Amino acid sequence: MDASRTVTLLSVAVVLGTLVVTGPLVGETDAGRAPSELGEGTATVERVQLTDSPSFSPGRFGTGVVYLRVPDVAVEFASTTGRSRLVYRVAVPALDFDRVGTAAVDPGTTHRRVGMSDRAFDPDSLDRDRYRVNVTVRVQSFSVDRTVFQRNLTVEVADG
Amino acid sequence: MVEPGGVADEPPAEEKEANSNTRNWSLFGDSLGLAVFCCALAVAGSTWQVGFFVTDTYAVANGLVNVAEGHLTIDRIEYSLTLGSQPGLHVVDGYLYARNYGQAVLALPAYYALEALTAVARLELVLAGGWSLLVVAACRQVGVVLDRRPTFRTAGSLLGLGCFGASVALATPIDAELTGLVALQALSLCAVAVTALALYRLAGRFHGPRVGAIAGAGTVLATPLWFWAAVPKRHALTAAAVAVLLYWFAVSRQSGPRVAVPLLGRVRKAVILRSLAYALAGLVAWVHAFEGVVLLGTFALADLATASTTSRRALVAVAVGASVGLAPFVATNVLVSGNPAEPPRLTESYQPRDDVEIGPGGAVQSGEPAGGGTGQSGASTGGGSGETGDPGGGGTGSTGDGPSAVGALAERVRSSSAFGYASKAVTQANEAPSRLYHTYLRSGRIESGVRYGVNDEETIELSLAESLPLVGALAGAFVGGLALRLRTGWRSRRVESSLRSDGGTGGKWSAGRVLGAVRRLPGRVRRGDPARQTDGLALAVFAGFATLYYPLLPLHTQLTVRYVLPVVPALVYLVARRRTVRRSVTAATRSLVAGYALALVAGVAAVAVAFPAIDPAIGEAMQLHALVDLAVCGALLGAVAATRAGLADDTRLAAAAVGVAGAVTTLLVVRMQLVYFEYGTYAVPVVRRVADALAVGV
Repeated sequence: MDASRTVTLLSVAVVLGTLVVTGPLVGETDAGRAPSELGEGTATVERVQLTDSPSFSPGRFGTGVVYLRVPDVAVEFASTTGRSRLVYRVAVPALDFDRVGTAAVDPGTTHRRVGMSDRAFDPDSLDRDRYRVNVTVRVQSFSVDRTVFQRNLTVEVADG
Repeated sequence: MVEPGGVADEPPAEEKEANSNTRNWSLFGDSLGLAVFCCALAVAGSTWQVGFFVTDTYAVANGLVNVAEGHLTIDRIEYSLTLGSQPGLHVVDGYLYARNYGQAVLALPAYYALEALTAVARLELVLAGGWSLLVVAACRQVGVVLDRRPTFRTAGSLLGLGCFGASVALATPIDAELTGLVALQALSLCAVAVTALALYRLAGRFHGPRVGAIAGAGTVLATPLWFWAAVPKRHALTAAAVAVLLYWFAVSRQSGPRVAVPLLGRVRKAVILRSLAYALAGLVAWVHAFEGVVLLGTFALADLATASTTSRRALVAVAVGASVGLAPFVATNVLVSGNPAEPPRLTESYQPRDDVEIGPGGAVQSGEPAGGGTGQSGASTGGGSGETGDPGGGGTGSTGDGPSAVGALAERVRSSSAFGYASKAVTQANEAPSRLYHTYLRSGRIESGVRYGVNDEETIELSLAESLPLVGALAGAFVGGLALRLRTGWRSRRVESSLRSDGGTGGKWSAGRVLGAVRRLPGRVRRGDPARQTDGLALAVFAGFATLYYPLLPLHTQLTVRYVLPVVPALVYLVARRRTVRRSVTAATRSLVAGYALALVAGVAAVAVAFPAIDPAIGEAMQLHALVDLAVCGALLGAVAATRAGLADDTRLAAAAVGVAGAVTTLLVVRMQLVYFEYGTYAVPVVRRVADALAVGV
């Protein structure tokens, strides 16, 4: 039997063996199972900053819509204990827009950035020149829920 | 390189009786065919996401689980996004049914296999392990083709093992209850691999293994089939059926050797294949009635016009094939609606008011059979007019969210009876240019017909040319042919047309000659070259699907005009058949591969550099892809046209252009799966991780 065939048979045996060993018959192992996001931890925030200001601008490349460009939020921590998470919320009440982005905060995290995709609007549905945009950032876990950043911004709809 | 040889390369006429052994009946044809199949499956599976992309998949998966328990009625809702109704769920006489039982039943073997496997192993590792073993097999088979077995076998084994090890470390759990969905996805992935294999054998039959292998590879790498491979909608299945039908059609144009069949004695191979083809087209009706009817109709027309024999025996075989193929469709309809011609899809959509309750655990409690409501559904199939008035009611309930938008779509399909279809086509004739333009050429923001609201107003519906720029080669061959004719004048037309594969019209015809030509046409079609007859079927399938979906397109949640996805194999075949294209890719295969690889690398680099700078939203990213793809489509058109018209002698230009067109499509479909549309858990997490590292997944 040549070496390459042995290698093939061995690989197949390893794959099948691993499947059975990690399977329910032999007893579940936790290998590869991700821990849940939320814990009992908390975090003290040093600084919260929006990477840009929210804005309305026309979509490019023939999309024919107006986008609400939502900036990322960058958070610096003074201290963190246990697992918690950041909840970044952007809402435009007049447009029924309300979206949340989250990011896990592990013990020892110093920086965290939370992003959110832009939201498209049909140009005809934007009947005002400016909209109020509410931005909040919270630190949340099973034991805390604290707002660390809150802004009410007025954003103009760009022409085009 | 590939040794020309094997069954596919021999002119079919030279097939000898003695040669009609198992080799002629083998599924894969030769070792290269098996390699194409394995590689196609491995590539399509690499980006597999286990998840529900289109919401009516819930209903089909529920149908599958309930059929596995032994009944067509849905007594238990295994999968749901929210409690209550889901699109694709229908109610007849107080019982719930799924819209599509063909797909559910065809996925049963995969379901049972997965149920058995998940008894001993974790589902996420079964998928990662299965894919890794597939990589081992694909590498081994490539080694066989290139005659370098030990090297490829060792490398493939180590690669597979490495992928598996990494996947075990990265795997996130997939609920073992999802086997129903996974089975549907596995069926769809296999369908794409079958499509690639059929294209390999079809193109290889006419033009040798190299053109075949390129066509097979292109089917996955250069078309949106890759995106829909893991989305268990009907489209990939129908596409596979189209590819197989084309192949069987091509093979059965010669009567072939006689083979022994139990009970029937010695039968011509062509007759058996034709019978099988009718059965396959009939089976498509089980998956989607309208598509089945269109395929059965076009195939029957093409077959009867070009058959090598229309003996009584052959016609009986054909009729038996069609009946066998339609039997499951008819049986399901009788069991569900009581009407053999009314598939579950056309029955009343389930609304929570319909006296059927779905309990918190997914248990379905049927109330009293609702006499009025359900009686209507049976009665209203005959006339389209009774139905067309109705969708208003369904429409008001369905504005707003995604799931019921598909319900509204079902209503539209429902109202597309022959009458509704014709009246719509006539009354909206003035919209035709704009609709065809948006469907086939340039998408952009489509003002009419597309409800962007269901997809958060994102302009993500691409046109056919934008999602399959390879079609530029078809247009290029046509334009180049015309230009050549203008340049060389009419005198040499006769000589030309006898040499060329793509025919043409026009010329100085008198009325008498036209009449004579028309009279001689059936005979000429029948005696024609099998390859050109197959071209005719491919064109007819395209025309059939384009006509079937003309009243519905453009539409939301199509992404790559998925309704006409089944014609993609037909278009790939037609591209492979263009003399200019196949000459270029065979003479300059190196340029083809280099064009593909360089364009892919350049595309990945451009994305990595430009996208962070311009920070596009999903709609903008998709439209940017669309514009680039359209430009590439135009360049391919130009390159092929110039080569065809004799303006460019170097075949490397057209070959490289074909490669670039493939690369931009690969980039689009891979980014769609890894970046733009994340809807589930990646079956092979290591691929996701590698893509992130390469910045494809930025």
